[in-house]
Amino acid sequence: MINSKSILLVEDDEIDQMTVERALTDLSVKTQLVPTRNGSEALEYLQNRNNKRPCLILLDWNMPRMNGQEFLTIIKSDEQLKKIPVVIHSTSGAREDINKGFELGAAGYMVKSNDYEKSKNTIRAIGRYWTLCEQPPNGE
Amino acid sequence: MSDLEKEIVHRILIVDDNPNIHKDFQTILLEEHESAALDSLRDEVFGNTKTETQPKNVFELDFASQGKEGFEKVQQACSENRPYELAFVDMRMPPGWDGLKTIEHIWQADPKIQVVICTAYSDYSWGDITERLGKSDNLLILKKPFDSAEVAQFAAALTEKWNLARQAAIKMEQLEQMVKERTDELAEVNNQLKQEIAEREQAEIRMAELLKKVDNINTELTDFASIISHDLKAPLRGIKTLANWILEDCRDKFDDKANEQMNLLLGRVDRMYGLIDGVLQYSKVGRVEEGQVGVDLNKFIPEIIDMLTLPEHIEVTIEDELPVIQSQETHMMQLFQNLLGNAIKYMDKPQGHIRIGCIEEDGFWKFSVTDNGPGIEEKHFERIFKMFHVLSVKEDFEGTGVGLTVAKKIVELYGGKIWIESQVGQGSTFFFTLPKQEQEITNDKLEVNTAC
Repeated sequence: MINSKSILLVEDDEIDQMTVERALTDLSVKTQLVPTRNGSEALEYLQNRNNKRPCLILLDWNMPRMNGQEFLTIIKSDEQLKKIPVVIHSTSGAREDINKGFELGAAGYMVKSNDYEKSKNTIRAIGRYWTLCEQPPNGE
Repeated sequence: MSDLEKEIVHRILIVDDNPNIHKDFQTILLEEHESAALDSLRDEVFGNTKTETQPKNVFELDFASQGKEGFEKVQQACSENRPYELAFVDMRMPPGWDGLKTIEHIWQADPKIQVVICTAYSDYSWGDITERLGKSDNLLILKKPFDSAEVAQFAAALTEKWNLARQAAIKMEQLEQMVKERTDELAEVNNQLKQEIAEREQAEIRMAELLKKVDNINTELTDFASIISHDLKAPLRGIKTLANWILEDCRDKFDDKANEQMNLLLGRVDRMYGLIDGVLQYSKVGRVEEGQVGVDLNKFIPEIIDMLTLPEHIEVTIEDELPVIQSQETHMMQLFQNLLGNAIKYMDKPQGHIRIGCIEEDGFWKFSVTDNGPGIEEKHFERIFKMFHVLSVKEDFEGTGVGLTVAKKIVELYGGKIWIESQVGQGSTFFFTLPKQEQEITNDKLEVNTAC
C-alpha cells in the first residue's frame, strides 16, 4: 500500500476520475486521492505549502487549460517537485506522445483502457509498483 | 493619244550662262531627236527589243543661267516630288558659282541626280574634281565643243541609269520592308514564346504552391483524424464505463429485459469503437511512413495469431511456405489481423478451421485465408469491401467494421487485388495478391540476419 500519503490525480474527464476512484475503492487502497481537473489546478495544489506532497502523480495527457506536457515540463524543472514520480495515464498510444512523456521525465506511461477491468488492473499495477518502490525523501 | 499615257518623262536641267548652249540642248534633245529616234537610240544602247507596249521616252528640259539658280531649281523639283534625273552643268559661269560649287550644292539638295560637267578648258583635272566632290558614280565630264550624238547618248544613258538606280532603291526598300516585317513577326513570335515561358513559370510556381497546400491538407487530415478519433472515443469510453458500472451495481435490481438492453447498449458501444478505429486505420494507410522492411510472414503470422487470442474451438493452420514481403510491418499486421479477425469473429461451427495458403502466380504471391464459417451470399461479394456498407445492410449480417476496406486499401497500395469466394453455410476464402519483388535475393540475407 502507498502508506498514508496521497496520490495526485490530474484528470479533466469526470468519468476517468471516477474510474480511478472506483478502482482504488475496489482494490481497497486507502491512500487518499486528490483529484484536480487540469495542470494549472494541480500546480496550484502542489505550490500550496499547506498541502501534503503526494507520493505519486497520475497525469492525463490531453487536458484543457494546461495539458500534461506543459504540466510535466514545469514540474520537472522545479527542484522540489521533480522528485515526485509522474505516471502518465492517457488515451493516446501514439509513439510521439509516449516518447515525449519519457523525454520529459515521466516514470511511466499507461494507455487508458475502454474496459473497466483492464483499467482496474492498470491501477493495481501502479499501486503495487509504487508500494514496493523506494521513494526519495521529499525534503520535509 | 493613248500613246501619251505611255510616255515616260525624263527631266533634265541645263545650267549654263550661255543662252546659246541652252538652245543647243533644246535642239539636240527635243527637236533633232524625235522621240522615235531617241527610243531607237535607247534600244540600240540598251538592246531592248521593241514591243507595242514599250512606253515612249521623252525629255523635259529646264534651264538655269547661274549655278545658284540651278541649285534652286533642283531644290524646288525635289520639293514638288518631280526630281531631275540629270543635270548638265557648265564649269565657268561668271559672275556666280562655278560648276563645282554648283554641283556641291545640287548634290546636297538631291544626291541621286546624275551630273555631267561640261567644260571647254582644263580648269580642273579629274583628280581635282574628285578631290572637291568626292568620288562619285553620278558624275561624268563632257568636253566642249560637244558632239550632239554624244549629248543624246549621255542623256539617254544617264536617265536610264537614274531610273534603274531608283528602281533598285525601291526594290531595296521593299526588301528592307520585307525584312522588317519578318523581323517584326519574329519579334512577335519571340514575345509570345517569352510570354508562354513566363506563363509556364507562373503555372509551375502555382503547382508548387498547390502541392505544398495538398501536403499541408494531408498533414491536417492526419491530425484531424487523430483528434477526431480521440474526441469521439472519449465520450464513448465514458458511456461504456458508466453502462458497465450500472450493469454491475444494479444487476440484481434489473429484470432480464433491462439487463439484456444494457448488454445491447454495450454491444453497440463496442461496434462504435470498432468503426472509429477502422476509420482511423483507413485514413492512416498510405500516409504513415514507417519505412519498408522485409517481413518474414512465416514468423510474423504466428505472432498475429497469438495476439488475436484464438478461441479453443478454432484452429489456424499455415499450409504453405510463406514469402518475405518488403513492406511496412503495420500494413501486414492490419491486413492479416483483419482477415483472420473476421474469420474468427464470425465462426459458427463447433470445430472452426482457418487455413492460410500462398502460391506463386504470374509474378504475384496469391494468398488465401479460408474458413469454414457461415459464408457470404454472392450479392455481398463487392459490397463487403466498401466503407460503411455495414451501416446499410440488415442487422442479421453483423458488420465487419471497416476492416475489409482497410485490407483492400493496403493490398491495392502494394499493387495487388483482393476478392472473396464463398458458399453460404460452407465458408469463405479471401484471396489477395501482392507483387513478387526481388525477395529471393534478399531472403538469404534476412535469414542470416535473423539467425544471428
